[in-house]
Amino acid sequence: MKRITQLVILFILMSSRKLPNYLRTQRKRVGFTQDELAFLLGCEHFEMVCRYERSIDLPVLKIALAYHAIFGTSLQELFAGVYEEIEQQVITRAEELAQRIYTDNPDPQTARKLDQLRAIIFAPEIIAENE
Amino acid sequence: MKPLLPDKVRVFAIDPCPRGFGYVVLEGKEALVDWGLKIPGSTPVDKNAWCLTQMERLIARVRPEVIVLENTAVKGSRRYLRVKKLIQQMLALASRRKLRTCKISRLEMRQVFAISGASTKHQMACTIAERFPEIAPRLPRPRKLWVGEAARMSIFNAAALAITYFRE
Repeated sequence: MKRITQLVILFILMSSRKLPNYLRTQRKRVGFTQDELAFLLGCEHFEMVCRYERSIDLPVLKIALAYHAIFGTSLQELFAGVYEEIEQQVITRAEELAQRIYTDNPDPQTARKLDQLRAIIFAPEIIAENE
Repeated sequence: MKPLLPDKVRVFAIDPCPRGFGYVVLEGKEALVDWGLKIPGSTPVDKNAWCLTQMERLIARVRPEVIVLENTAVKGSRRYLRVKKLIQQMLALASRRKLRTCKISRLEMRQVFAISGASTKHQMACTIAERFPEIAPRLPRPRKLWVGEAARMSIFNAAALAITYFRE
């Protein structure tokens, strides 16, 4: 399982334009040492903080949420590169699912699903326009 | 890898100092992503080789698109021969990694910072510390003429290189 996680992280590292995460940036901005941050996160050892910052491991949900609680920065910004890649994969699957369930006269439930899928597919463009 | 938008380019600026080098990573001209000083614990046999190894590790970690270094080929550059050679080696390393490079002279840096009224190195460092408060704690005190430059100043020199890159 660990090997699969490492392969996923490597894939993300190679294809995203943002850094996988900005954990080190946030930590250095505040001035915490890795040891101090490990304590705040509830990690046993600073080595885990080092592994997260170097993208060797992805933190579990509890640790990710703890990062958000400590720095007040959204997970999307903290793990920008990872988020970008996952978003792209979700968009690809959303396009496939939309094609699969599309009909000319969808029932109300299918129409709601298609609306949601369109929102997923076009959301990044809308955000980019607003920026 | 898709490149970042031109105004969000990730720039890795390095300023060698007698003991190692200072570095700064900017993503666009406003976002300071990483900064620091690389100084060996004990004096290595080959300082330049040590610096190049550290630079490779940083490149692997921050994945820059552009490497910015000082242009020591201009007339009047007072850098030591070892540092000039190191900068050439860093440029060669960046080439091998297929990264864009940019060389900036001290004169160009002074011209950019003259706009904000900074002429000396310390004044430039103060301007940078105001712009990026997260590195302000590393700002050395103004130095006396008979005292050597603090190694931490190379972080600000690197930041000055990166800021000058975005002004061009």
